[in-house]
Amino acid sequence: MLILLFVVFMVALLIGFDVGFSMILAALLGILFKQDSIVDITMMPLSMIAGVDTYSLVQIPLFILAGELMNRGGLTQRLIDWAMSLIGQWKGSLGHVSIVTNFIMAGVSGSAVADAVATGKPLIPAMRKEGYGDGFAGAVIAAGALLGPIIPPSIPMVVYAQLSSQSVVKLFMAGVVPGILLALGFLVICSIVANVRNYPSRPRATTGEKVIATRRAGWALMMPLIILFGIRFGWVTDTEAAAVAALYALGVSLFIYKGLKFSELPKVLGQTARSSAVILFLLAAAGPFSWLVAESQINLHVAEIVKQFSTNPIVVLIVINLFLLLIGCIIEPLPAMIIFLPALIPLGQQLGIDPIQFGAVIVLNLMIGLMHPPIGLLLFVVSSVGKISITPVMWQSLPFLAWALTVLVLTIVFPQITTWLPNQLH
Amino acid sequence: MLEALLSKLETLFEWFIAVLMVFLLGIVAAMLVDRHFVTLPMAAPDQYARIALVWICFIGFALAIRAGVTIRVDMIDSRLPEIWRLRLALWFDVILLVLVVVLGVKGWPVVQIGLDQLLLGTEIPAAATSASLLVGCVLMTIFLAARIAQRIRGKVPVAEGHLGEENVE
Repeated sequence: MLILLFVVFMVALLIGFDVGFSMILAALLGILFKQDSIVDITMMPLSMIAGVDTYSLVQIPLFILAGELMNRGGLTQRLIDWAMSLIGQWKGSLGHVSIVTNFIMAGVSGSAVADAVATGKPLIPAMRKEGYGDGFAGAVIAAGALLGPIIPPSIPMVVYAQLSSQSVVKLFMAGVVPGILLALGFLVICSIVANVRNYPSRPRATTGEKVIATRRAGWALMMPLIILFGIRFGWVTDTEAAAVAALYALGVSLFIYKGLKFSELPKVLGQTARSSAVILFLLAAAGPFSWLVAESQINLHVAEIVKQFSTNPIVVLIVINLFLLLIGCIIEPLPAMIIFLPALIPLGQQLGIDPIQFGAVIVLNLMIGLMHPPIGLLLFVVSSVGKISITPVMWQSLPFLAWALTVLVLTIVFPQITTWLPNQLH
Repeated sequence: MLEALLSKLETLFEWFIAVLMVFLLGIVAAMLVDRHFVTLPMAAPDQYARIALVWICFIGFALAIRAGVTIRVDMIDSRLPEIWRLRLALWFDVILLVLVVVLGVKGWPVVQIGLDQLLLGTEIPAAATSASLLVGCVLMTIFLAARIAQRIRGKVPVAEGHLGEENVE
């Protein structure tokens, strides 16, 4: 019966019913049709409230706010100008600038979509103007934005930490090396494509111009450093880092760069709260849904199926990743995490896979789903922001996608990529 | 007339969650100040942050329902003819409404129990947290009922968007 409920749930999900309420619906039906014992439906509101009534989740709205303020306050534009002054002379430099800017922004916002919108708006038209193909212009922005949820801070990592009871800080640190590897690979791909297609370069900036650009972007450049070092050296907790980032972005946007007006603040705050609520509600809905997962023992069934392939942790991780890549074709990353992690986390524990590595691999995997068709959200976002057709963006994304998958395989085979930095924390 | 009232309600609660965001930011920043610089006269500040977070969640989600920006998988329904999408959207809203009403009704006893309990380290009843779901459900019921009525009268074009800037992955 409970397995049948999962079928109902998947059907509701796939025909377009709200993801959070699909979970609630399945759990409600599970309670109503449960035969061997009586469970009161009051359990549902109780577990929903408990699902979000957690202090560590406070950082989700605060990091979203920091990213939003950064984009609206002119910090992003200054980062673009700074990157341009440093590497503008490279062939096809606008591609490199996109990656470098997104790399730095990833150290603050933790949101791929916000980063894609912020960098895509100025850079896609600029790339098209300089003769870069529409597809490449979109693909490079999508690839750069992918760094957002990998490099700390990362909202999906916070969600994973909540679902698996792991340290948020350790998970943040686990994303640093894969994020750097991704960024370096993306830069190399940009260079190769630029050379093959003979994309233009810009005049080399003088030392004076570089100094001016660095000075203008100084406040924005300090932001990710404050967060990363603040957390790394224990000056601030992960949640406090989110508040510091938001206050810093607010101060710089209002008083230094003056890109944001006081009158715009209520709208920014309201929209941020609403965006955060969409994620938080998924976590609330995960409360009753987790009960259904536990009650149906679906995690044991999943574990049995996966163990039939192998009990070698690496092979199991590969199987899980193939499964998640397929899931990524139909479900967006955060809902996929919330739906499948209650079944997958115990499996990882049974096989002795490091939970931090497991988390980093799963987040990386599901974030890759943001870039691959048919529902690669970043592809839709860049095509919408840049007003370009999605098909060429999909094709041009393939080299970036291939490198992202390579990094995923590396993190599976070499756990040190994700565990070395977290293990330095005491 | 109804739309004007709904808009006012929406604006009112948008302001409410904006204020909660400021409160959340302030309380977390105060905790940092308290730990490193000046001891502030506050007990269990994390409890206050959690209350604000839970209210942001349920009220914010009600506003997201109103704006049609909740997360859905549109792989199948985006390919359906407009008339089917309209019918499906109507049925989805009806099922949502039923679920929201069930949650609201079952959430009431949770609030009642919470009136007799205090949050750890504070003088605030636990109902301050649990009431958020109830109020959120009331708000969702109003928005959904209005949308269903509008759909029946053919005033809402299709299932509204959901993969826009709200998505923060």
